[in-house]
Parts: sequence; structure tokens; C-alpha cells
Amino acid sequence: MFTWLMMDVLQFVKGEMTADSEANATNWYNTNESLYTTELNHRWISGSSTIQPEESLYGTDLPTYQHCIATRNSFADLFTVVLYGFVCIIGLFGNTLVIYVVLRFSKMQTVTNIYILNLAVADECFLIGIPFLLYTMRICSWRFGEFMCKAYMVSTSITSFTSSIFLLIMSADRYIAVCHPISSPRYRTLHIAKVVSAIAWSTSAVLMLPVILYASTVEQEDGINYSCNIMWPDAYKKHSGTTFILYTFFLGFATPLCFILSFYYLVIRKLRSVGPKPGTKSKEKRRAHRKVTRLVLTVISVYILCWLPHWISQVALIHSNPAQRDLSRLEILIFLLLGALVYSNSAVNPILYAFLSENFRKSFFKAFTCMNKQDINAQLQLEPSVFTKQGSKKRGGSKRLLTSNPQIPPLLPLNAGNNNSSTTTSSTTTAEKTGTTGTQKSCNSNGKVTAPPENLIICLSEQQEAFCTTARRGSGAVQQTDL
Amino acid sequence: RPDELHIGGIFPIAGKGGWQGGQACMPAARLALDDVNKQPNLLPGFKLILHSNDSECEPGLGASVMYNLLYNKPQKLMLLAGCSTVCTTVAEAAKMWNLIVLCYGASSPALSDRKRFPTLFRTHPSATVHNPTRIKLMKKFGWSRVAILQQAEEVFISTVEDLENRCMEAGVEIVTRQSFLSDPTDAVRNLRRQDARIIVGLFYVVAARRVLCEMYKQQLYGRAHVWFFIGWYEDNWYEVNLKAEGITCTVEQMRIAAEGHLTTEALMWNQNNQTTISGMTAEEFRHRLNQALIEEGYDINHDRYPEGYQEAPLAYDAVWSVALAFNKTMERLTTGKKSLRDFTYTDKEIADEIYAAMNSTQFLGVSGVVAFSSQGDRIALTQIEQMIDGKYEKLGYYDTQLDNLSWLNTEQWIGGKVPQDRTIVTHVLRTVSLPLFVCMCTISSCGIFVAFALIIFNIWNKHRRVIQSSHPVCNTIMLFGVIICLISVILLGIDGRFVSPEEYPKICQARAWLLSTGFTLAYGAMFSKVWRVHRFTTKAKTDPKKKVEPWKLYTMVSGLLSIDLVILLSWQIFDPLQRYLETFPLEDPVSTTDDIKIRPELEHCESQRNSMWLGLVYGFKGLILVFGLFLAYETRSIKVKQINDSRYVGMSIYNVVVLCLITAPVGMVIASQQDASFAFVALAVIFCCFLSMLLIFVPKVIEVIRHPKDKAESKYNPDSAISKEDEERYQKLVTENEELQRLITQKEEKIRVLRQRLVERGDAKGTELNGATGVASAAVATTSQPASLINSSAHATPAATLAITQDTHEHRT
Repeated sequence: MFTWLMMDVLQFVKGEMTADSEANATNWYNTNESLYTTELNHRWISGSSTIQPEESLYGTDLPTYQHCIATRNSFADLFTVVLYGFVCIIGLFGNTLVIYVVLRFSKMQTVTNIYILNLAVADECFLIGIPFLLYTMRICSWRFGEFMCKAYMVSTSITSFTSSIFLLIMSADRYIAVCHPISSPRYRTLHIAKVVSAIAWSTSAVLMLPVILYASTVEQEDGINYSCNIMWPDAYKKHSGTTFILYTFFLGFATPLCFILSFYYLVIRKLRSVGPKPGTKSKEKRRAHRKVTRLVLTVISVYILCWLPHWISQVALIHSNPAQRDLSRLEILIFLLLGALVYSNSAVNPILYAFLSENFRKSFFKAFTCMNKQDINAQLQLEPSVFTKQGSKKRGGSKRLLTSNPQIPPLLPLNAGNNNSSTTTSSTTTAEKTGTTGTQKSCNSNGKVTAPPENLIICLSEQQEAFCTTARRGSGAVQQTDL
Repeated sequence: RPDELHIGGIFPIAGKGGWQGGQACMPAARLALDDVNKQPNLLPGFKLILHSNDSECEPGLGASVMYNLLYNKPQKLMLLAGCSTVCTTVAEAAKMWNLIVLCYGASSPALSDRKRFPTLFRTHPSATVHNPTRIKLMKKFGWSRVAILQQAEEVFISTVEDLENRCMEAGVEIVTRQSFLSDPTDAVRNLRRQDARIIVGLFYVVAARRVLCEMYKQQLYGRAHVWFFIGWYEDNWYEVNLKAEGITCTVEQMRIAAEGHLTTEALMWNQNNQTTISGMTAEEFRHRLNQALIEEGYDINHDRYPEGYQEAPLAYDAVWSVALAFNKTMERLTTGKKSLRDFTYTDKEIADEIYAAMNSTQFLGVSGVVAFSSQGDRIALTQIEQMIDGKYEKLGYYDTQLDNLSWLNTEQWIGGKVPQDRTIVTHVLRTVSLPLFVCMCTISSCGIFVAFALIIFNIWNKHRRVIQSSHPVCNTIMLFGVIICLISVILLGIDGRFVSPEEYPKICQARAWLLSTGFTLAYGAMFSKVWRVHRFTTKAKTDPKKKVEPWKLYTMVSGLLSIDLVILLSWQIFDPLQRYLETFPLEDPVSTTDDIKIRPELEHCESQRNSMWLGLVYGFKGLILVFGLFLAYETRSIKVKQINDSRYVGMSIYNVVVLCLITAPVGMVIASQQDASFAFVALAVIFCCFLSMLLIFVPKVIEVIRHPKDKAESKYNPDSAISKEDEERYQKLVTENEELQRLITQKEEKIRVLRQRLVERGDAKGTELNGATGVASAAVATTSQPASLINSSAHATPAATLAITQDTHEHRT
């Protein structure tokens, strides 16, 4: 959504240059008229002095493309490139890791993580557009053709919209899980999660239909280079642009924000009213509640901080007078910074929703641990052993992991240290949850988190007091983890 | 020893930006000098001597050369000059020394000003001699819209002024006039913006090469453009000096751009084999000139002609004019007992005699008939040429005095026909694609058919309980609304393909009325049902036996429809919808052989204050949509026996609201894409209609199919009796629920008291008591549920069991 605005800003600057060029041409011609009406001697002197203004005149009459080339090496431009590059790298790494973990480990495929996966995919597609944007800014023209222009505009607009929708969906999911724990199993199933995700993507595509229709390449003034922009029809230019920005603002930001605030407010209020206030044990609960409250406030603050300035600038832009719109260098820089904030939201989402979750951290360590163990087994192949076949298989697996994760090998020594502690923690947690003593320590653990419905069924059928107490506590723990 | 007559000569030989014709004119003048001095009967007793220097076509340098010629002995009787700017300077000053100036290579129209240049004659025709020829050609080819591109030199400024006057008289429009000093980039770009097709170019050859290169870059060449250039460039002017002058185009590119351009050229060589005054024909003169140039070092045999070769006959004849004028002057001075030897710069008498002699000189020279008008201008024919395959082909001749155009019919146009002087714009109306329109009409027709079938079904089975309890008249109203909406979908696709521009406003009005009233009928019926359910629920406690009154449902729908009619009538009366054409940028035709542009147009329905009326309509319908959403949400879990399908109506309302909220803004934004816009809105309306019919009527159809014997039951059990019995059971169940709720409340209070006591004791003991508290809570919870089950087992009625189960579920929630 920001990218077409950036292209539009550049186009305004070019328009200003064109207007100046024509004005200068007219003045020059008038001067020339008066030149030849003077007397003979004055004409000689004027003629010789006219040559000098001619050179300076043409010096100032650079095409807008060349003007963009001339100013692209300023400090502000380089700073922008570095900032966008940094956001792109961090975001792609985080989102890729989230996608890998959710798809790789079956126990990570829960309702909440399905939404996190969709959010990561949307953010990934949104951030993939940054290299195209940087390259276009660098060479001052769009070199990827008409189809890529439309694909770029469509993908960035749909995914930014989808990103907001999934933030809304996840807040609704948490609201249902916390405030309606008994009826939530009916709604929080993988099937419903996938259907909701499909509806979210479809709604984004429908609402971004104007971008699909009107994104195209626009020829610049020099007749050779192009820019990628949303070309509204001339008759409806201001009307369509205004309507599009307004309904994108309301449906893409204002409405999701209201719902997110409402859902999280209800979640916090519910958590405060649960459990006895005094007592030693409630101190732990109070700490957990405070942690959840802080997490919720962080999520909301980051969302508002990243998107609100962008939308304020857009709504303000459509209300400004187009005739008086001469964007200065500072204003262009501000637009770029606001765009960086929007992209930063996509980069920060994996940290807020995934890395702060215990399950995700364990899965990340487990991924490294698996690779580490297979690597150790590969080293054992140097000695003769009766387990030759098993060793060769593991070595193959190790190579595959090395190929898919080239950055992991330097971290091996650290993982060796973390291996024991993570294993111990996993064992303890599993024992507490399930009540069973046996725990498999292999890399491909099949252990699953017990779902609340099973606890309820056990309560009703067995009617054993002690077991019900343990099951209820376990259910609460699961909910905490999901948060 | 004969006496010597001295004349001064100023020749532009070197230099950069201007004409360098002295390279060929000075050898020609030398030839003439030799021929004149050999004539025994011409200037007997005298010898003509030429003193010359290079002016580089610079007025300042020309003035300096003139001063040197004047103030260095011997005295000069006449001056020869070339290059318009130098001639302007020299001729303007020469009157102060009583000198006649004869220009052999100056075409500027400004030199025709007798008041400013009183002693000027020229053997070179004025540049304005081209203009009548250009006008003649424009008339011949039907061009009435031309552009002018000129270099900012006085010779070209004057020519342009003359051309503008002649164009005005001839009814030719000048679309733009562009000038430049040395870089034609911006000027050529402006020509492109103005869509200039026929362009008259006036510049020196160095600038002409730059213009040609810029023409290639801006693509102002080919079958759609015709350029008029000056004819006195050399034949290969567009191929030479490219690197030296910094031209960035290749020779091939220059050749492509130059193809097909026209040139007008004053004839400077005699066109037949007549013997001229010097005793030789023009061809013989050419042969001798080539010999002289070869001796000068020019490689004539390989077509390396010096600049000014075309004007060489003018220089030759200029010297002859001087000799003839001097001869005549000498004859007249003999009677006065004076001689040319007596001339000084202060002697005006001899100067006047020379002027009179020159003014009356007339002879046949190698450049044709040499004669001077009262303005000192040369009278000449004009030759018209066109560049075909890199070579100039003669097209014809034009005699300005006789207004006689001799045409050879040898012109060739790229594309096979005469280029047009402007872009012919064809207006093409964009319409919805026919397959899409047929597809949507088919679906809408199916929907209309289904709606009619459901109306018949509704009427046919109106006695069935499942139909009777869902207020069939409201459902029928909804179905009529659906039919009207689907008809409006067909109207949405009717555009300029089917109706004339005069009929289109009626289609606009019909669309607005049908879509608006159809929506109000369909949605209003569903809205009124949900409204009655909500009202019934809120009034149930105070007046439980109050029935659903049908007239209130009708009143609701009628009220909504009345508001709609008021808005639509106001819109129709005060600001009716009109046909509005949206135009798009010009496009190229599919067939590249046509030299036309296509202007797409799209019809829209708009009124003057469109935003106000749309705001009114959307505001009203938005309000009832939001309110309907609220009512549907409030009544989502309520069941009323008299309106048994309220839940399905609520689901329909959900779908309608969501689809409308998405369709309205997107439809406004994509209005310029006729296919996408039509498909989007049509599918939205069709989807709304089908989904509503599906949700409301499919359960009824299924019920009727599954229980065909319901008709027999109604005969034995009247509805009133059954409803009374059901109401009594309902009241009993409500009472039991209230009693059970009171019991549950009392027990919860006891539990709370017990927890407080345990917590007070637990502070002293620690964790163990917390576990005990959990156990007590679980026990109490378990106890409460069996109590409910025990109570329910006491009653054998299935309805009571369902009610108690539902109540327990709600309590648990």
C-alpha cells in the first residue's frame, strides 16, 4: 500500500520539474525576441552575453530522470537503503524460521500456530517487495516490465491487508480461548482455522481489486524509463484515489484496530477476575497475568506505532490541495521513514507472536539439537561399528539439514551446551502435563499436548477428585502457553 | 598598363555554426574575374581586381574584414558579401561610405528592407521565395495544420514572420512555433507534445543535423510526419560531420529520419543549355568550376563537394553584374567628363550612378536570368525535391510570379498515401463484453425463474404449518424484491451497444429505481421479521400472550419503501441522472496500417450533485443494514413459534450486510473498468439474492418434501388448540427454570461462604488447604449436575428435558 504512494510522490516531483521547464522555455523565447530588436552595436554585445545564459539555462533544464540520478547519492538516500535493507533481512529471517518450524514439527500445528503461520506467510510476501523497491529507488526507474509491476503492486497490497486481518483473527482467537474456555473447543479446530484463513485471504483479494486492475507502468518524461504506479482513470483520478484510500484505511486499519482493542480488553478483564486475590499461590498467577498483560499491550502498541503514522500521512495527503503540492526533500524522506515503520511491523510480528512463546523457542532449539545429534552420529562413523546402516542413514539426514540451513554449523558448540538443559526442561514439562513418567528423548518426539476436551471427558467419566485437579491445572497451563 | 578597378569580397570559408559557402563561391568569383578581364569589349582600358578575406559567417568578424578592406589602400568601389548575418552588418554600414553591396549568398528576408539597406543588391534569392512554394504544396496535399521549427537567427525569424502571414492568408493553421539557439532537444519535444505532423524547419545545416538526430530520438519521422527543409544543404548533409559535431546518432539512424522529407530550393543553376552571357552553358561552367575546385584541393571526383557549391553560380554572376554595372556607369560618366578612377568614399554622385546602373542590369547568367527588383531581390524559380531512398528526387517547379506549379508526380509516401496533418481521432465506446453480459443475464433469468417458482410454492403450500408459521406474505414480498434486483442486474449490463445515447438516461433511472426498491423490498421483509422477533422478545414478559400482528410487518416494509420513494422521486425531479462520457487516453489501433488514434469512451450515469444523492441513498440503506445486523445478532439464539425461520433470516442478513459493505466501495473505485465493474456488482447482487432464497426457503422445501402428510394432521388438530397447549407447556417450563435457577443461586452462595472459611483457615496451613479447596469445588460442581438430572427424570415430557438441558448449558456458559 505504501509502495504505490512512493511512486506517486516521485511522479509529483517530476511534474514540478516539467512545469518549470516549460516556463523557462517561454521566458527564453521572449528574451530572444527582444534581443533582435536592439540596435546594431547593442546586438553584438547582447549576442555575446546571450551565449552565457544559454549554457546555464540548459544546465538547469535537466530531465526529471537525470535529476533523480543526480540526487540519489545523498546521505538520506543511503541511510534509507540501509534502513530498508536491515528491516528486510531481519523480517525475512524471522518469518522464514516461523514458517519452517510450524511446518516441520507436527505438534506445532495448533489453531493459534495456523494463524501465526498465515501471518508469517503474509509478512514474508510483503517483505519480498523491498528489494524491488530499493532497486527502483536506486536506478530511478522500473526495469521489471508490466507484468512484474502488477504482480508487485498486487502482492504487497494484498499481503499488507491480510497481515492486519490476521492480527484481528488472532486477537479474536485469544478472546475465545480465554473468555469462553468451555465452548472454545467447538470453534478452535484446525479445520475452522483453515477455513477462516481462506476467507481472510479471499476478502483481501476482493478489497484490493482496484490495485489488480489499475497497477501499471507509466512512461517517464524522457520517454525511455518507466515508473510503476497505480494509474487511476483521468476522469475519476481524485475520486477513485480518495475512495480507495479511505475504505482501505477503514477496513484495513481502523476496524481491525477497534476489534483488537476490544478483544484484548476483554481478555485482560477476564484474567483479572479469575482466581482468588490473596494467598501465596495467587502470587504466581498474578505474575503470569502481568506477563500476559504486558504482552498484550506490547502487541497493540507496536501495531499502532507502525501503522498509524502511515495512515495519518495518507489521509492527510488526500485532503491537501494538489495544486500546491510541491513535495520537498524532507517530506519525501518522511514518507520513506513511515514506509519503513510499516515494513518494520512485518519484521517484528515473528518476535511478538512466535519468539515470545515457549513452544516456539523449544522448537527452535529442537531443530538445532536434531542437527547437532545427527552430526555427532556422523562423526562416530569414523570407528568400525556394527551399526553401520543406521549410521549412514543419519549421516544422510545430517547432510540434508546442512544443505537447508547453511547458517547453523557455526552454532554447533553452543547447541551442545544447550542440548542437555533443553532436554531436561522438556522432560520436566512433559511429566508435569501428562502425569506420566516415561519420556522419549529422541529428536523425533511424538509427544503431543493434551487438549482440554480430553480433560473434560476424563472428569465426567472417572469423577476422581485428584485427577480432575491435575487435569484442570494442566489445561490452564496449556492456555497460558498458547498466549 | 590598364587602370585597375578594385572591389572588396567577404567570403565565409571557415567557422562553425553558420553557412560556409565561401569555400565554393570564392573560386567561382575568381573564375568570373578572369572571364570578365578577358572580354575585350567589357570595361576597355580597365582591369577588375578582387580583394577578399574570411568572415566565418560571423557578423563581428565580417565588420572587421570590411573595415580592413575599406581603410587599406587601394579604394574599393563595391563590396561582395555572403552569409545573411554578415550581409546585414555590411549593408547597414556600407551606405556611410557610399558603397554598393552585392550579396551572392544571403537569403534573409530582412535584407529586403530598403530603408535599412539602401545600397544592397543580391544575386541570391530571398528566403521568403520558399514560402509561396510551401503554401502551394500545403494546398496541393490538403494540409491545413502545420508547425514551425526555427533556429534563433534573424534570417529565419524574418522568414517565419513572412510564412505566418502567408499561412494566415491561405487559411493554414500554425499549431506551434518553436525556436532554439543551438540545442533543439526541447523544441523537438514540444513539437511531439503538440502532435505536429507537418513541420517547416528553418535552420542552418549544422543545426539541421542536430534536429534530424533529435527527430530520430523523438520518433518524429516516418509515414506520419512530413518535414520541410531548406534546399541549399548539400545532398549528403545528413551523413557528414556527425562525430565532429557531436551528433549521437549513427549514419543509418540519420538516414532513416531523413527519409521522405521535402525541400524547397531557389534554382541557382540555369536549367537549359542556353549559352549565357559569358559564352558558355551552365554545364560548361560546372566543368570549369570543378577543375578549379580540384586545384584548390577538393576531391570532387569522389563527391566531396565544398559547402556553397550550389551557390557558386550566384557568385559567378555577381562578378558579372559588377562588371556590367561598371561598364554602364562608365558610359554615362563619359558624357560628364568623369571616370570611375575619380571615385572616393565621399563621392555620392558616382555612387548614385553605380546604383542606377546596377538596378537596371539584366542578363542571362549561369544561374539563370539575373534581374533585381526594386527591393534588390533576385527573381527566381523554386525547385521542389523529396528524399527517396537516400537521394533527392525532383518533384516539380514553382514560378511565384506566374503562380505556375509544374508537377512531375514522382513523390513517394511511406505507407502509400499522403500523410495527414493531424491525428484523426476515432471515438470508440467501451461496452461490456457480450459473453459476460449473456452469462449474467442467464444466471439472473434463472434466479427470476427460481423466485417465481418459490412464490408459487409459497402460495400453494400456504396452509402448511411450516409455511404458515413463517409469515408467507413477508416471504413473498422478499421474493418480489429479489426478482426486481435480478432485473436490475440485466439493466446494469445494457449500455451503448443496445440503446442510443438519447435512451440511456432512461436506463439510468430504471437502474436506480429497480435496484433501490428491490433492495428495500427484499431486505426490508427480512428486517421486519427480525424486528418483530426482537420486539416480541422484549415484550414477552409483560404480555406473554400477545400475538404477532401481520399488519405491523406490512407497516415496516411500507415505511422503508416510502422513504425510498421519497429519495428517488426527489432525485428524479430535482437532479435527474444523465449520460456522462468518461474519456481515456488515446490508444493505437490494432491494425498498424491505419494512421489514426482511438479515443475510448465509457458511459456512466451521473447527476450534477451525484455525491449528495449517493450519500443519501447509501446513508439510508447503510443505517438499516447496520440496524439489521444489530437485530440479527440480538435475536441469534431466540426462537419464536410464530416466526420459526428467524434464525435463517438472521443468517441472510449477515451475508447481505457483508456483501454490501464490500461491494459498495470497491464498485465505486473500479467503475472505469466496465467488464470488471459489471461482473463484480452483478455477481454480488446475484449472490445476495440466491443466498437469501437458499437460506430461507430450502429448509421449508425440505420440510414439505419430508412430511407430505402434514395436510391430514391439520384437519384433526386445529392450530389454535395446538398453539394453546404448547403455550401452556412453555409457561410451565419457564416456571420450572426459574425455580431451578433460584436453587442454584442459593447453593452457590453456600459454596462461596464455605470457600471464605476455608481460605481463612488455609492461611495458617499452606498449600494443602488449596488442594482441599479444589476438591470441594469439584465435589459441589459434580453434585449440582445430578440434581438437574434428577429433576429432569421426574418429568416424562421430552420438551421439558430439552428445556432443562438448554438451561443448564446456558448456566454453565
